[in-house]
Amino acid sequence: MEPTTRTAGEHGAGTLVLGVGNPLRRDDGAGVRAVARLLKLPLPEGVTVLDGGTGGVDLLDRMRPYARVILLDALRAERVPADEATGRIGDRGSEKNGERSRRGRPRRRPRPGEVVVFRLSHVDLLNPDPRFSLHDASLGAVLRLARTLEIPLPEITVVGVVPAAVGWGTELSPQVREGLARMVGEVHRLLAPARCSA
Amino acid sequence: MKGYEINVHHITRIEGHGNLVVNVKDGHIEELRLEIVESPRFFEAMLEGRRYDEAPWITARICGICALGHTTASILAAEDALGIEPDEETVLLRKLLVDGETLQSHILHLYFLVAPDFFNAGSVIPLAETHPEVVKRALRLKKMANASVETLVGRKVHPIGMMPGGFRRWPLPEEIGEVKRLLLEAREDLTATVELFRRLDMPPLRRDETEYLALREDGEYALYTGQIASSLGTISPPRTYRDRIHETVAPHSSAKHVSAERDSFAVGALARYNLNHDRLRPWAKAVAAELGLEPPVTNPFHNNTAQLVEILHCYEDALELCDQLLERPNGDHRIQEPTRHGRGVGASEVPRGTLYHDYRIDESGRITEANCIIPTGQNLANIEADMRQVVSDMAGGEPNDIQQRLEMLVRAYDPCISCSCHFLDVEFV
Repeated sequence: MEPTTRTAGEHGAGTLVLGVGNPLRRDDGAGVRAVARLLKLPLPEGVTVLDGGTGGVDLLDRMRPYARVILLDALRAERVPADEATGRIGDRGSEKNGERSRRGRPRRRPRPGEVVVFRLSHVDLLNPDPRFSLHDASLGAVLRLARTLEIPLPEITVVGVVPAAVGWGTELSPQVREGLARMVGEVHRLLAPARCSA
Repeated sequence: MKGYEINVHHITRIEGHGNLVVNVKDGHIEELRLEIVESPRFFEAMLEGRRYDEAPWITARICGICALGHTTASILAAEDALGIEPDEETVLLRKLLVDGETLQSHILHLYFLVAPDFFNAGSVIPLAETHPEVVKRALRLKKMANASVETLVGRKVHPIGMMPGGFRRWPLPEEIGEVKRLLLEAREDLTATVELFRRLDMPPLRRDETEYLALREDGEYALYTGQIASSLGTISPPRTYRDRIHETVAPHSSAKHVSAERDSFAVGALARYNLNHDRLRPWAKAVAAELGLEPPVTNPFHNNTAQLVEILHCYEDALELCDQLLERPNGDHRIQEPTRHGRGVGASEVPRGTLYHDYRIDESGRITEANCIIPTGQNLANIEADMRQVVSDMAGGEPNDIQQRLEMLVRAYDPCISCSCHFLDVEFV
């Protein structure tokens, strides 16, 4: 059996690479699959890689001990920013005819398999409330709970992949299978020494 | 009675989402159904062709909350099929883990999904605004229960230490001691939990027809495994589950309904309490008596109260199991090997009721047939019968009040739709 976690520097600072999702729902499990790949690769000192399963409120305690979290997940968004102002788009090139976000930034519709990287503080997570349940405690709900209870959390960067299929099954769609390599690449880029000052 | 329609898509605060449809015309229920269960058939197909020792970690992914419960039922099915006899200490350690999972699941259900109803909060987030100390206590208790399990077998999402025949790694005495320390530290929070929930009045509802099914075991409150017992008196081994539980297609619903000796039955904390209350640990028994929980309890809202009682039971049981394990020599615990092949059934009490895994395994150790019956599917027909009673009891009431009561009823059963998707929903601003 493959290990589901590798730990380095559990105390205090350091970076947590946390994959979440359900590998029995095809592309929904992309984050967990990316973690499985990362566990086989060399990574810098002070980096902990963890399979977070389907998450929920437990994510609070998972993330708290670290200075920085890189969260790997499937990501559903109607539109993503077409510039780098709110984060980095992993795969640019299909900017949509001048459409803009509420803050006036250009936006476009993401493609399945596309990898999107952004700081969590730069987005609104949809439906953080009231659909709070044990299974579905969305990250938005968890973060809002942390904010309400004044629980400090580390800086969170999301590396998300846009799913093509989330029905029953363990096979990734061809688009997300290709996207997985880009997710792993983005994690390495984020962990590069110059950015790993945490 | 006037007519009204209730259509709730995605009942909040149940495990996953459910649809609730009620249509009353001239005082007559024309339509009433609850759609909450997705078929586990997919898992059965997925297990076929896999090795028996892969099944526990595949099925652990079925449910983020009951990962350890599925692992346990899967291990029990494989051991039954293959003639594997785990040693006594292995059984003790598994029971300790089952206590830990029951604790964390019940704590989250009561604090995060049930409590908001009684504080007039839409969810736990407004509850955290008005009663932060309550939610912080829930998080502390949840962390304690998770840490206990993880100290013993690794990540809850994948209890990798557990397998048919034994444990991949036996915990060190100091790790068991650490679990005991975590438990002892939680006593004050558990006392406060009892004080909080004893003040909450459950809505009235009485349906004496309900049959209750739970496992029963000699000399203990059955959670890890046992015989299938009914409140109507029948008791038989797990292998007889196909004769005891009958699947039927309900004409009004796309979901399958199940029945035993009556039209429907209930599993879960209240069923266990009704059948096994005489075997609770002392603190749990005393609090049940103080709360006036006189068995048989036929109000399904008291599934919440029964969960509170079980929290105390599991706490006391876990402490006792820690002591028993610490008293024994921490010696050689070899993983026991198969002695035959064939069919085996594993039945275990998970937080929401009895879970069955049924495998046929060939001589190469591969699963050729699998069947899995989850608790929420077993409860569905009974929830609908209770809903009819609520609608009838509240005839003439405001539809909004009836809807709220129905939603509370569904939540009291702590239903679960496993395997919902968990992607991030994002809007870039």
